[in-house]
Amino acid sequence: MPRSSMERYQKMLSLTPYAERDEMPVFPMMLATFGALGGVSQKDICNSPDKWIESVLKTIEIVGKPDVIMPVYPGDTIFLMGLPARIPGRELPDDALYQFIEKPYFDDPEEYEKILQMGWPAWNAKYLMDIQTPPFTDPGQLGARFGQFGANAAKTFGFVYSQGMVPDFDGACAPIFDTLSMARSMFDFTCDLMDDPGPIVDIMRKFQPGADEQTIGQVKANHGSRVGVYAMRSSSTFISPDMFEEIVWPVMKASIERFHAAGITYVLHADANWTPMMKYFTEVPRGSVHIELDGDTDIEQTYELLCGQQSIRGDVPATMLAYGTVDEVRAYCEKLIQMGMRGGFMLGSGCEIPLNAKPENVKAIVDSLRG
Amino acid sequence: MSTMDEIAAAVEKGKAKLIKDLVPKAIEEGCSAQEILNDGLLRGMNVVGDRFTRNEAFVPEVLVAARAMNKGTELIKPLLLAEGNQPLGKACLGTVQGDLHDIGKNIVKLMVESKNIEVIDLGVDVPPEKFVETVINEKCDLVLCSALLTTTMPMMGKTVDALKEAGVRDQVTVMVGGAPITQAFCDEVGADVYTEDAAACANRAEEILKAKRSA
Repeated sequence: MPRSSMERYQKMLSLTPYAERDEMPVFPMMLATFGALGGVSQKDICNSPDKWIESVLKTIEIVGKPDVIMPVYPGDTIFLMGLPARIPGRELPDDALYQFIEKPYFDDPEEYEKILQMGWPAWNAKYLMDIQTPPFTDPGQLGARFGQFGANAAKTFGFVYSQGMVPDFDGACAPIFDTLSMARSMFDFTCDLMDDPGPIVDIMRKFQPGADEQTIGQVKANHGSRVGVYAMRSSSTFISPDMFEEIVWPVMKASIERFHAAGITYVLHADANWTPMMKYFTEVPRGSVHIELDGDTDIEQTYELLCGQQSIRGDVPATMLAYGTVDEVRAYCEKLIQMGMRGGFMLGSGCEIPLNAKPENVKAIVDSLRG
Repeated sequence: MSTMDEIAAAVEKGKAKLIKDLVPKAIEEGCSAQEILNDGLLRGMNVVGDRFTRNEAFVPEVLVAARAMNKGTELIKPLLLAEGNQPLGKACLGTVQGDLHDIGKNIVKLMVESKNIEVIDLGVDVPPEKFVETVINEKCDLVLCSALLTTTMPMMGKTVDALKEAGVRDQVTVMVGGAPITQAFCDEVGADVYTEDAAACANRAEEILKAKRSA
């Protein structure tokens, strides 16, 4: 009978049926929400891992302890996301949620040829430097920022483990496809895919293996076994299933198999609608992928399709947590729990719990399994 | 295949470069700008919109079709004005105050424009007063509000209230949408119409404006 969070997590990964509901792990996903529920300003939790940890502890007192938690504080999450951002206390009020800005980093599709010539690591480093506010002018600044991230991560991961919780991932990345979509901007990138996907495919095929090896090294350095993959632009909200099959899936499948061979689970953060794409995850090794759904994907259909093959997490809706009642949240959770008792299911929110979620609604998620 | 059929097919397939050649050809053949718009460009776009509604086409197909249609409308714009063509109506569109997420809004804009509705894009982070000012100055028929965050959803209600306070609430139909929005929320804040995706928004906008014209 698993009783610790890690034991529950391992039970979920084993894809075997739960004997009791208390065996099922729970993950009400919060990052910035800890500030709102814990009474620490968004400005503070974005600027200080210590303040973020303080907000986590205060929130846990209110809503109960989850089994799984995001292990990177908001300031580093924003840095790593690969999009220009507006930050509370800088461009936004102190208690506003950080927001990413979608604008083209490059206007000319010729840039893809440049990436092929420069190599992905060099181009991506330049991109990361240029999108900072203010932009970094010296590669040393980027190295120093990654060094700071490492120090912060040591602190936040250490905190997570000291609390007996499981980090959602031990290392994280965005596939090259998704980074390109964000850098080019959604509209232009989509037109490029329709007009001539060749250079994009060339970049993915040439450089994704090396990027994966780098991420594997990062996960191994953390003595970890899970990689968080933020691939929202690969969903059917952004591309067609045909594009997924022809362009994204061959590269993603190879990545999943590469991580699996290294003993690493591919934790796919699958925001937006992945329903038409879910069938492909039956093609990769059993238990190689854990999929986090946000409510746009049909979770029941997905569970029926992948039960016994891959694990999934989801998907109490953000709107219900902000504007619904405890009874509504309980009923929704109960439905998910009953669905997921055949194994391989983690109860959770659909993506991140919103800043204006009612504390009692968040507590209702945890209580539905531990209450 | 007639030139008009070729234009419709080119829009459907998102071939903007072909449109650049086909529209002048149709003009040379004596087609009016109104015919090119309705029987060529909009017909092709509507096919894609219908397929999108049936989950047979996806955002990429819609985007490139809209790009092709826009290329065509650019070419015939002077002629349309000369012919006295009027769009079906006018809408102002924006993400509500505090919300910077505009991908969905931009898709809505393309889809609504494809119904021959003029769209004034107010961009992101639009305060209620800006919607009101635009409704008054531009004589809009529709106000299209988008939000992705549950924290900014209440600004839709504030926008409705601001329209009431300015005395123009009855002149416009307020339509709301975005990932966290529901019909219940739409009713609660006093908006008129909730649609769950861009294609549904465009279809409802067209229905509303056609009904308004025939009233």
